[in-house]
Amino acid sequence: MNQLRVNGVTRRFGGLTALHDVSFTVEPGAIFGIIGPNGAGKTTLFNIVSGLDVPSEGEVAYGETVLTGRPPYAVAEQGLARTFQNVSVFPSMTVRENVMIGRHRHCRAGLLASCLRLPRQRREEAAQRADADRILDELAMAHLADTPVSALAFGQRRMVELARALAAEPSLLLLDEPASGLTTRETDDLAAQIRRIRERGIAVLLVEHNMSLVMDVCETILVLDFGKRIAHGAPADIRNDARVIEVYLGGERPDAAH
Amino acid sequence: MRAAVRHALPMIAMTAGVVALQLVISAADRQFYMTQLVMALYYTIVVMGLCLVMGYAGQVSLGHGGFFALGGYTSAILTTRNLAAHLRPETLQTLERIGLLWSRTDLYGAPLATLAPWPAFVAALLLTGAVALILGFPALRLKGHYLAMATLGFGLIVYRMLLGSAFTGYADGITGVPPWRLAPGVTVSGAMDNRIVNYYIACGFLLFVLWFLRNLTGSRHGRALRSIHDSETAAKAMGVNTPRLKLQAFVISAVLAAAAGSFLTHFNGGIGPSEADAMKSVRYLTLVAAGGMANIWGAMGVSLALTFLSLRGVFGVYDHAVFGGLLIVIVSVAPNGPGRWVADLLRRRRPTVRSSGAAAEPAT
Ligand SMILES: Nc1ncnc2c1ncn2[C@@H]1O[C@H](COP(=O)(O)OP(=O)(O)OP(=O)(O)O)[C@@H](O)[C@H]1O
Ligand SMILES: [Mg+2]
Repeated sequence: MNQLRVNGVTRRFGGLTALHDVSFTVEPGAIFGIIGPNGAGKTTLFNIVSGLDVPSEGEVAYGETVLTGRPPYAVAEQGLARTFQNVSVFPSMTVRENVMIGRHRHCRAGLLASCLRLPRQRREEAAQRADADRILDELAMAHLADTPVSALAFGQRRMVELARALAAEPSLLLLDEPASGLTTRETDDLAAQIRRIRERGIAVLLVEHNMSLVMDVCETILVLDFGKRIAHGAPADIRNDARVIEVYLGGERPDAAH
Repeated sequence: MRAAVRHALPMIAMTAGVVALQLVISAADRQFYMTQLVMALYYTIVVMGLCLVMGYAGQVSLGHGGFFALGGYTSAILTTRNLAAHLRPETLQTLERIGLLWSRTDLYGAPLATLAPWPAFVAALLLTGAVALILGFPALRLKGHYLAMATLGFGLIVYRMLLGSAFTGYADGITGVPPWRLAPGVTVSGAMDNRIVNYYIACGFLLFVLWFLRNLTGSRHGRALRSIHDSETAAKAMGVNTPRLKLQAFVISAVLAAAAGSFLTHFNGGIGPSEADAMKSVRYLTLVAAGGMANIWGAMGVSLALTFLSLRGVFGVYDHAVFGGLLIVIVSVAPNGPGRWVADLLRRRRPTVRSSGAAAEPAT
């Protein structure tokens, strides 16, 4: 189990500083929330942690490994998995195939073994398929396994994306606004899932505008505004922090109300 | 067990179809179809390989004519270039004993020693694989259609070099490529009395490629390729080494084109520069699109039919226009392939039949 350390990360896009000297650590198995107004730099931070973007300054490390500078697939190899704010499932594939992509990093059969359909590859394929079905079963989506993702409703796609990330058996899961666009019931299901994920000892980095969800599941919360850290602490402290109330919690935001 | 049967069934059906077609052609006394059929089979192997790159890896290659020509010309050059004068007799004998060299006398009775077809074939594959690696390595690391540009440039260079070089016989290309004896009684050549054997050789090769590509596309590597096509970002984040996988698919595809080129060169007894013409590459690309992009079966069927008709001269002077027009129609009307287009049309007719709960589209 590893600790995630974000160390003095700054990200500039031309003249815009999307992240300014952000540092924090996430302990193994912890649920860590990141909140802040639109454009605060939350997704940018996720992209940097998952290797899709590179910081202008600073670095990210996971346990002994420096993640900064590694391509995303090498970051995933370290046990990080993520979902996307705008739901990036693979629409041309079935639900099961999407989840099986999550298993990709655990597969060892080489390209030649695949092309020649060697016995070893067939056994591995069957095992991955069974694993994917088990994960779908746990998320109560077994009946959708053969459905093409393009035929699913938005909330279901979010759950497929979550299943895909869980299939990777991460030790750190990054969820970027997993509740946005979900119905109240779906959001409740999601909260239950996140708690179950914690029980398995998986650390979660959660970006979310739904305050009741964040306050409910997170142990620690980081508040960003214009790329700067303005608060950091337990939910109770964040709720009562004057600056946080001023820039984020106080003003009624349409997408914060769910 | 059930899965094994499901996997084997299409291959068994295809094999039966191959035999049936041969029997029908023989019974109808249409053996003269065989020549164009064999050629269409080899060109279709190029199209199926390209399908892997375009349909699955989501990359455009305009160099597959070039790869085909590279394979064909390598085989042609190595099996016709006389080494008798360059090597000592003992060396010749040793090389011949281990099967690398092939000594005979030419038309005028002079000693002729060339590389045997097998090692020439292997050299053709290795050379083409290396060229594809060099072309693809930088191009596939970048986002966008750099591979299309790189391969277009490659195709043009190959074409011009073949046309302009004495080594490759200028516009005449290379003739006098010897038959290739694969096994006793199984020889790749265009001899009239060898047509049925060559039909089965070409079909066997095609079936192997079909089996090979279906294995690949049905495996985790095939899934990973499709995931790149759908969302490269998400694929990467899930641990798919996207640059490497795209490069592997591209190299496999180029090597398949070279293998087809090598076989067809032995079948035709020669090869010309028109094989590397950009129009050829565009034609392969059109056939992949017309087959439904990520559809090996579609690519195979459409390519076999249209290439055969084209080689039979059915399209006459409109030959290029037919393929160009097809490309325009596909791209503008049915970019996901004719199959999907028809399916969409049918669905639009009866919109209420959508399965429950599936109708809601993303809110954003
Ligand atoms: N690739 C990019 N190029 C230029 N500017 C960018 C890029 N990515 C993000 N930005 C800018 O950086 C800032 C932070 O964006 P980011 O998406 O990280 O915000 P966020 O906190 O995720 O917001 P939201 O709550 O709306 O998702 C924004 O001003 C955005 O316009
Ligand atoms: Mg965001």
